[in-house]
Amino acid sequence: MADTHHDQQRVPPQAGSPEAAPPFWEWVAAGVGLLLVLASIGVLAYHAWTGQSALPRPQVQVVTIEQQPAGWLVAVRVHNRAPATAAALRLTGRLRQGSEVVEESKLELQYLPGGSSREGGFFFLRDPRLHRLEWSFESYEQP
Amino acid sequence: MTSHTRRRNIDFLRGLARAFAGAIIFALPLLMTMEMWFLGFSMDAWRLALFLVLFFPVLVALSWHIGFEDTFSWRDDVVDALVAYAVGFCSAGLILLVLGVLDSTDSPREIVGKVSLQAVPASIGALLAQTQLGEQKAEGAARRQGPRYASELFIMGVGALFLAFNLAPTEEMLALAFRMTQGHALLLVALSLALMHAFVYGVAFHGRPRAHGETPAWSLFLRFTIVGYAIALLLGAYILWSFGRLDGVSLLVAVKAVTVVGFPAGIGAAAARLIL
Repeated sequence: MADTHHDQQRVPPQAGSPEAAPPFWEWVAAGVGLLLVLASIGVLAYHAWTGQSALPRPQVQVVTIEQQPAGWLVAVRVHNRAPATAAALRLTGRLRQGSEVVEESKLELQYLPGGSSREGGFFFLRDPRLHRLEWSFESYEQP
Repeated sequence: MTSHTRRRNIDFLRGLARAFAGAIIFALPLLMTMEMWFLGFSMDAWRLALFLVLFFPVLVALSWHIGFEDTFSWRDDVVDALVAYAVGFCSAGLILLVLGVLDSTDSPREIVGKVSLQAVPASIGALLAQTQLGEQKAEGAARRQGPRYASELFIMGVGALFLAFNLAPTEEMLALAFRMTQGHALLLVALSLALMHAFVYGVAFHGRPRAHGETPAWSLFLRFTIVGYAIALLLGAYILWSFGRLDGVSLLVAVKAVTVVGFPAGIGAAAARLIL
């Protein structure tokens, strides 16, 4: 952009305003700025380098199971173990008794960023602790 | 520490407080925009890193124009740009934290993405706070005597960048591009140019670049309106590409989306000469 031209045709310092080094605290603030920019670029470049064309890898973990007036709530934390983000991630929770599915509940997460977790919950009418809890991921969208 | 140095440090801290105010004012609309949080983690990491690298010389040049402090040397402009970046990062991080956008379950990549993206408009605000909230306007204008045309185009570029950056993250840019016919897009180009020219004409009679008072309208139109619009379109396209908004869309839709962003970007470019 135009910035390369400025140095050659810079207006000289005006009289009465001597060229002085920036004060101490300005150096401190500038150091913080430099650190933050370089660290950000470093983190982003590292993830760009390692996470190229990766696919999301979601995993479900039960946080808690609670009895509620309308049934049971299974609160879950979905963690994405890959660096790629999944949008509109859909998963189904099932209660099984033997080979038979007795109840099913669905959850959709708007976004599951790479390496991050999001929380949600499944509602069931039956007590999940008396059944086998099973998860399956249905689909996701690339953001 | 002499009393003079202490006074300079106090002046700097006062300027720093003003910079934080400017950063928050300029970044607040985007800090409260959902698409910006999502872009923080969904945006391609290379493109975001590239944006941060390319944005730095822009901040240095902007610092030269308006000055976080009274800067006269290249070193001071770099220091000022770094201070503006620091203020941008800290204010964006703080606000996102208070708003609950940053969470303990977020990965480092997600946090860095969200904060560094918001630091861009915030750091522009941190630098501009010196002219808009302070009293250095006259001086800033005086410093722009040298390479006036290049300097004016740069200021137009900053205006375009800021406005384009504010609108390009939203879903509406592509939604509008899908709705609009080619006729709509052509009308929008004409409208953008007409409004931009009104601003360019306004600056010519605003008094500051006095020489423009005698220049014919077609010269102003070619040198400022058309060139400014071209800058706005290019920056709009670059920002849309950075945000991944042009990925997988047809050339026609991409061109329409660029004209959609080019509308606010062009007005930002033309108005920046009046405001900055």
